[in-house]
Amino acid sequence: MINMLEATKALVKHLSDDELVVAGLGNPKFTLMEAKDRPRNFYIWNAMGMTSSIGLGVAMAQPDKRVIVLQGDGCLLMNLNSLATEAWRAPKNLVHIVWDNRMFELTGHQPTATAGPADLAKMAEGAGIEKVERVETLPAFEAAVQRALVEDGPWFIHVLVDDQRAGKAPPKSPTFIRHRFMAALGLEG
Amino acid sequence: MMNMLEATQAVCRRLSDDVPVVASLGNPGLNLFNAQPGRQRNFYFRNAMGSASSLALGLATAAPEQRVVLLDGDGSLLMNLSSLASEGWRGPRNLVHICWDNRMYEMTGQQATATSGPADLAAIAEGAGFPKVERAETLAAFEAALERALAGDGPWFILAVVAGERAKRNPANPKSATGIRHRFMGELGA
Repeated sequence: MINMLEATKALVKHLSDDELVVAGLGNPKFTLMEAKDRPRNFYIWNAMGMTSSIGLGVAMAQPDKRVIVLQGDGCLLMNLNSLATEAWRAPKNLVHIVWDNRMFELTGHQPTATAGPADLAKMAEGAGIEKVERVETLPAFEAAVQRALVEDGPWFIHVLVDDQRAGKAPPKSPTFIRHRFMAALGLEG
Repeated sequence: MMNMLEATQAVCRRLSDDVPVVASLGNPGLNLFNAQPGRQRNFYFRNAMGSASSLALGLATAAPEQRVVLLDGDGSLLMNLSSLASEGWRGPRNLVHICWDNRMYEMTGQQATATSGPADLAAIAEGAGFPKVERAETLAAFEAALERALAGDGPWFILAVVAGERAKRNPANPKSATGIRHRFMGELGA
């Protein structure tokens, strides 16, 4: 099974400084911080579920930049509505990566619906996203990422990962994160 | 294309009086009232858009011996797609989730919903893990799906493609949320 930290390190190796990365609360953002901190990372604190909506908004507002969303299964399951909006608005520059460890890992390993019958890749297809990949190995993940960084999306990459906890906390202040992110885009915060 | 009132009348014809029906706000509830004004075991949502599917799931879980029928709309369900994953996971056999899909927010001015675009609620329900998913575009197909759903184990998800017609507002339509709740709970002996 894929390890989220290894996969995130593989992802950032394929990035230039140009791409925007929006990472959801918990393991996705801790892992991104550990893999590579960069001003164009937007780390979400606490606002569970909102990762995909923020990523969609950023992708629509910055159509010339690739926007990569790193979200967990528990987070997406709180906001499945966003899949329908993503598919409908269909920004070509959006790459939505979902780490699926089938649990709310940080709050005590409670199972999510993907531990049961829910299949997020199928739901993304049902929502109308055309480019949907489901990967279970690191080489398959890297191949999917390489395609998603050059071919039109929106992309949905469903990644089955283990339940390892990541270690490194990003900056604690949401205001600081927002200002740094907007400044990196040449926008006034 | 199907008419929501006619399809709702078909639902009411097939249900005995003891089957609780939960109807989402707007046209689903108005049509349910118009289809059979005297029916007592109806829970009409007012205003709480999106919540009908969660309430019906709770009711079906709490009363497993009782078939529970939900009349939802596409706009309402698109606000709470997360409930589909919970329904698929909890898997109450007695739940029949009917979704009228008119591809618009009809009551607020016919604004298009995501199902007017690429979204397919039946496919999303399958992805959520519903074991029984039906899609009906004609009244005959809907009635056949409904008969299967009322006879066999679920949870069922029936996507009914309907026309974008507005239901008639009946002055006798219950307005008090408290009154609706008390009547419904009294009916269920709760």
